[in-house]
Amino acid sequence: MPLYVPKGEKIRSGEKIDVSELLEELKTMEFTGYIEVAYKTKEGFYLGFIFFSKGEEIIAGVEEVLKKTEYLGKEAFDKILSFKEPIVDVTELDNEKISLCIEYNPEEAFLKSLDELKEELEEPEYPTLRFGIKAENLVESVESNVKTYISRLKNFTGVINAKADDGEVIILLKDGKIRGAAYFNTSEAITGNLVLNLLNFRGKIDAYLKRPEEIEKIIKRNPELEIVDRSELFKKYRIKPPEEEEIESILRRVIEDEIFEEELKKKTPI
Amino acid sequence: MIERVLAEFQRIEGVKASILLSESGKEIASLTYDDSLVEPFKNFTLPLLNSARRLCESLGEDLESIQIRTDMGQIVIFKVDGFLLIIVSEQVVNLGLINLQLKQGIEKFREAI
Repeated sequence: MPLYVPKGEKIRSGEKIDVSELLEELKTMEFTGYIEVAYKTKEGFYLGFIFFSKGEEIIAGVEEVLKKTEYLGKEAFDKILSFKEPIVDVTELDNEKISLCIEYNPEEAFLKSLDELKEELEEPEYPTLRFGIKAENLVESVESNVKTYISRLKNFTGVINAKADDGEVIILLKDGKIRGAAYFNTSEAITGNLVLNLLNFRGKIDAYLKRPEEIEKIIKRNPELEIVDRSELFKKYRIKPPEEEEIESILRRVIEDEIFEEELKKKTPI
Repeated sequence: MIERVLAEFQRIEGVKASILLSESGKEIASLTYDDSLVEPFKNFTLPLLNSARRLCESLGEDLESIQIRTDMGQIVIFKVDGFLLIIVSEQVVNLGLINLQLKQGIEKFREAI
């Protein structure tokens, strides 16, 4: 029975290399995926596969394609190691696909027990915050003022979820800078820059550690959360921000116009 | 490595030989446990192909492949990008799987050649 080999992302192709050296390398990089080995001898033509989960070899199989002889498990693994510099392709798989390999490949091909493998691959279930953010890697849970708490987080990359009786905020931080924000209470939901004015409250704060690319992924999925840096925008479009005095004079003019209109209405006979 | 692409055909249950010839009938690569299965194709493939091509042309159609059934098995000849791929198999073989492998194999043949 041929092995089930899913499609993945080929990261190396057609290299003539020593398999034991490659195994060491894949172990160091905690590789998940498989290597495909092709080797020709006088006895036949061999096509072999070794599957890895986080750098560890989990499944092996070799087929001699001319006489269609198949070797599985430890026997296949040893056979592949005996090949002198075969041609090797390295293909990366995600966790979902490697789980399928465990599900669909024959048990004889496994290099360790099925229960052990399944246990290793199972990820703990985490609750999900709004916007599909997984509540994993909780690093701190405190009661504090949200604005003060965030200002203290230098170089922090992660998600802050703060809850009070009358509302809840989600703040996305990257290197201590706010990248995204959302506020909710029973009647409204506010996202983006406006949320920055609503952080001055005391609540129960949970801080979750995330990788920078995870933060960017959340923003990409929910662009409304993004905090736009006004000064950056001004710079980009070469806009000179108005001075305080200019704003005041505009406001004064509007008010004066309104007063003038009111007076005009009073004087005009109906 | 062309043989590696041929090996994918060999993995299919019932396939006895996979042969890649140039358009002029010269052997480029082959995989089989029985070399006597390769030799006849070097001489007979081109005349067979020419007759079949002429037949198709007279019908106003283009030749893509030839399938032959014998009392012992099947022979399928595919025209692939200036090459001829010949699959010799037992009588019962999954032709759909061979066609699928052919689609994936064309790109690999191009790279390998």
